[in-house]
Amino acid sequence: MERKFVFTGPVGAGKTTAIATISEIPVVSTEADATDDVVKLKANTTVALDYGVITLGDGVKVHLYGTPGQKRFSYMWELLGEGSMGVAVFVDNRSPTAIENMFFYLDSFKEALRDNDSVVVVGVTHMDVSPQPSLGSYQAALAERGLNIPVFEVDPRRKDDVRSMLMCMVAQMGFAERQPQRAMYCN
Amino acid sequence: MNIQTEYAVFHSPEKSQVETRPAAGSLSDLLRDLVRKGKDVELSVDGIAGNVILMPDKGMYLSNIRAADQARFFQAPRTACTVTDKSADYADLVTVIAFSGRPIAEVLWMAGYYQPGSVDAIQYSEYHVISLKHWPNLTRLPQTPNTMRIAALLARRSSGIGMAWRKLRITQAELYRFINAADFAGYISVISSPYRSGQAEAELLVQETQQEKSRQAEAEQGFLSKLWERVRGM
Repeated sequence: MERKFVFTGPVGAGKTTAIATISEIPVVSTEADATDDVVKLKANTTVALDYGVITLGDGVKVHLYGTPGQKRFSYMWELLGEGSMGVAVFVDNRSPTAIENMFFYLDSFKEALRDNDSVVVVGVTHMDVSPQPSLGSYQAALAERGLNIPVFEVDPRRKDDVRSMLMCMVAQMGFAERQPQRAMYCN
Repeated sequence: MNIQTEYAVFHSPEKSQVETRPAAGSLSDLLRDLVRKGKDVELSVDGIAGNVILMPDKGMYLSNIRAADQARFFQAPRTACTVTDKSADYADLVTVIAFSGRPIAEVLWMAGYYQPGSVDAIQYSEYHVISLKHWPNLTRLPQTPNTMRIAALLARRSSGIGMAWRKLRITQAELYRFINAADFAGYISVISSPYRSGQAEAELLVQETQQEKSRQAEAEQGFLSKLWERVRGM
């Protein structure tokens, strides 16, 4: 069985950077010139997937997959989410719809979270330039849905931050059975 | 906008308000009291450069204490601390805090985390059942090696305090330090406080501990344990 984590979120949230920060190999990216509205945000964007890897002491590989951010590539999300151990959702805090974006991606991976008994963590990026909404606002919005999901301030260029997100997912996996929050989320 | 320049405004003597020297105790307790009372104040400690400005009604704080000095700052005795009323600077502070303020829960977490004698300080017994209301922002807060695991357990399941540290196979001191920090920040939810520590309770505790040990032993030799060590060592 393939062991993998999925990094997802909207265009420009930092998924590719995060994988590059933590992967042992140079990230295999399938980027193309941005067209449509994405070109306003960056020159290139992921169109199929990003790929990185972490190898454990016994040679077992843990794969890191980044999804394309654009909704028109959402067919890839289902493929990549299948069998994932955990989903890291990156949210760009500069977006006026940052909290809605978080829910959109959580909802998009609902099936994967339920079917694989997997875990989730949210990393909010660009808070240094756009401090609002605060993490408290994210937590309050999640609490309204009865969810207690970890939400961290993250700079995807910082290894410590990306490592913390991974550690958080692994820590949750230790208690993956009897997950009331996930059960609630996936109903 | 030059934050440093703006921030320096609040050190100017002419803007300082009433300064007080608190009585005995630790700065951590003092800080929590000030937040509870909703005081807009500046805290400084003799011999440590920088200060912390609290704005409880905005739910924010400002700090220019160096990371290397944080432990010394929060562990300072109250007698080494100066409290300056900043209510007259409220309008200016609101402007600065919009750019460089941090959630006040974070400074409360640090106060609880660094509080001297946090093992003795927590107000819960081994039989209290608690859970974690919100995950702390653990990419920006001080933590012990097992903080993520403690948070994962308490966020997912309510747990007796005595059970939690046995279940996680960590020291009581490490768990209590987490609980103290989370309690300061307002993240702990008390589910029940069963002081009826009778025979049934004790038997249940032993039984659950044994079952958990068995599950843990299996898990620790497995994939998760290797993955945890690998990621932690990055």
